Amino acid sequence: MTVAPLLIAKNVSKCFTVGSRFSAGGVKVVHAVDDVSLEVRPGETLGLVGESGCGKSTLGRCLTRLYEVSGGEILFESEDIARKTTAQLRPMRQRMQMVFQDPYASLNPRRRVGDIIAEPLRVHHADRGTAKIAARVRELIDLVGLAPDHIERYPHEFSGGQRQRIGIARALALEPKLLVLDEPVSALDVSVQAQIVNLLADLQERLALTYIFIAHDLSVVRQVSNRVAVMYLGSIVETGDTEQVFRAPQHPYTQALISAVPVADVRRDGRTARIVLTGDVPSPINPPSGCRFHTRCRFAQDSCKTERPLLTASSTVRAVACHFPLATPNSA
Amino acid sequence: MVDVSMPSLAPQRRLFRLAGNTRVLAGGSVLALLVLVALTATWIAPFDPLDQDLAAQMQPPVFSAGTGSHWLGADSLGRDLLSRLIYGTRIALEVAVFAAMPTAILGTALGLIAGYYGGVLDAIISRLVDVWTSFPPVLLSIILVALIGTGLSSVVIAIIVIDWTRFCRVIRAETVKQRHMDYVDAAVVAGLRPLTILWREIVPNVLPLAVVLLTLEMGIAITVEAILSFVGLSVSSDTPTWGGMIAEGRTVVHQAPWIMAFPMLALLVTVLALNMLGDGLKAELDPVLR
Repeated sequence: MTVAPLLIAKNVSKCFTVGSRFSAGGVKVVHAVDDVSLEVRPGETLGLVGESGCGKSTLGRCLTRLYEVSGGEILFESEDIARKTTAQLRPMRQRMQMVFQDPYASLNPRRRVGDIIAEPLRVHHADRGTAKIAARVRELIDLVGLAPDHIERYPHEFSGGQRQRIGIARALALEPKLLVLDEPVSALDVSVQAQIVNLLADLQERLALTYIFIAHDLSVVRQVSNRVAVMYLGSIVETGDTEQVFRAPQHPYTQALISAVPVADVRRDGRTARIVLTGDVPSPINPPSGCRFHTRCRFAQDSCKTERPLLTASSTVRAVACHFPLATPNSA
Repeated sequence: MVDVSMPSLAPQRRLFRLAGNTRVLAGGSVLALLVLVALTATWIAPFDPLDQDLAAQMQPPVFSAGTGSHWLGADSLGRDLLSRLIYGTRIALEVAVFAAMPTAILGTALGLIAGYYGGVLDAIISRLVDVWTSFPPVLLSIILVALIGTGLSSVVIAIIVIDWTRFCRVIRAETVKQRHMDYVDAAVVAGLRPLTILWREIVPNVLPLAVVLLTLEMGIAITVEAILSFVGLSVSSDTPTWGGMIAEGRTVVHQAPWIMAFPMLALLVTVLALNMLGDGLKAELDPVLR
């Protein structure tokens, strides 16, 4: 059952420079994504979780090549897209699309819904002709649960949830294989979140889509993903099957994150008390030596301060970057 | 790229909606009237603006003891004020169109390039704007016209050379803001070429601002021409201009204040109408505010 992965990221890094030679302190380098490797298999949903500012959105934007990557390889269908130019990327764009977090900023306020959705089609299928493109737009509008008369309207006439449907329709226009969903529901009301999550699940089944689902809401991620990757300060600290990771986290950071998810009834759930992390997330400009998490880790030892743990497979489906991974209940 | 055109309402419907805005309607009507006056000056002006009627020197307007032949009175050389005002409209509007339009196009283009491409291009253009705006504009225009010679084309050139920074600065800032919106990233992911993104996604969002600035610039251009006429650096003195009339009226302002007052009033009304139109358009061209 080893299917070739759809997307493989190998040691992907992304640095930003802040300041200039003339500003106080000079040029500083922010390591937003630091040596990240991951795989996405066809048909699955990979959840990418972490706190705000941990680099998960930056990673998503590197994978879609909205950003130039500073280092590493991105193999999409066995083709390295990390070094391609804008023009060379164009054919690949048809197979990998993106849904953005902010449904207000991601739709051009001066264009009609129909034109927004038709835009990718006009770029890649100009030869199809206007009539066929219009027919495809109607099909997409229907697919995401909007009405045909919405085509002629402007984005500001829609609610957040409807706008996100428009964004999804645009992303699906070219029949992509992979969708990078950058916090697609975090800007929406909870009731609307459920509708969009259901829509995404439904579309995945009908169109055999693969998702990279970026989110900070762990309960949403738990619901939608098959696998998760937990990020901290630009690096992946743990990956594995969603249920396994949620039930028995191996990295102390994952454990702390999961313990912070609100539970309706704590007593019945029978879980340990919430682990409150002390201190702030360190600055990615000057990250801590050794394990990046050692400054906030309950179990940190001296070796954590000097040696950086690598993401190592703890079983066939899991990997953790920790010198002292937590014991899972089964193996203990 | 099959369909580059911006889809829009039928033009008539759009015009009707614009006319529904009081400020657009008021400003637009005044301007339409001025254009009409300028076009039909030869027929509607009661006198030749250069004809001297020495018997009517400094005759007051008809509503304050005037005789009736010169409705707004006559200047110190006995030339009919109303006719001179009517002919002055031509110069004012010519300047408004031929100076403000190229200024807007040049400044907007440079602002778009600086804001969209950033980097070295932005650095060069922005520094240029900084240097440019550090000169006092009126002084600069006087020096420029003195250097390249008087005349309407010199005035137009001076306005373009000086005022493009006004557009460049504002349009650059707006372009930078728009460029960082997610809809631009969505266009990149869709595979649009950079120039197409600039033209189809960013320009429509920046254009309303440019239109508003243009109407303001028209007012400024008319004022600058009046200033240059006032100091005698615009068209030759046998062409009637509002600025020239103000200059002539200034010398006799104690005996005949109306000679100076009427061209000033014309200038005021025109600039006010342009500003009102710009204000109204700003509200109307924004689909969210509409």
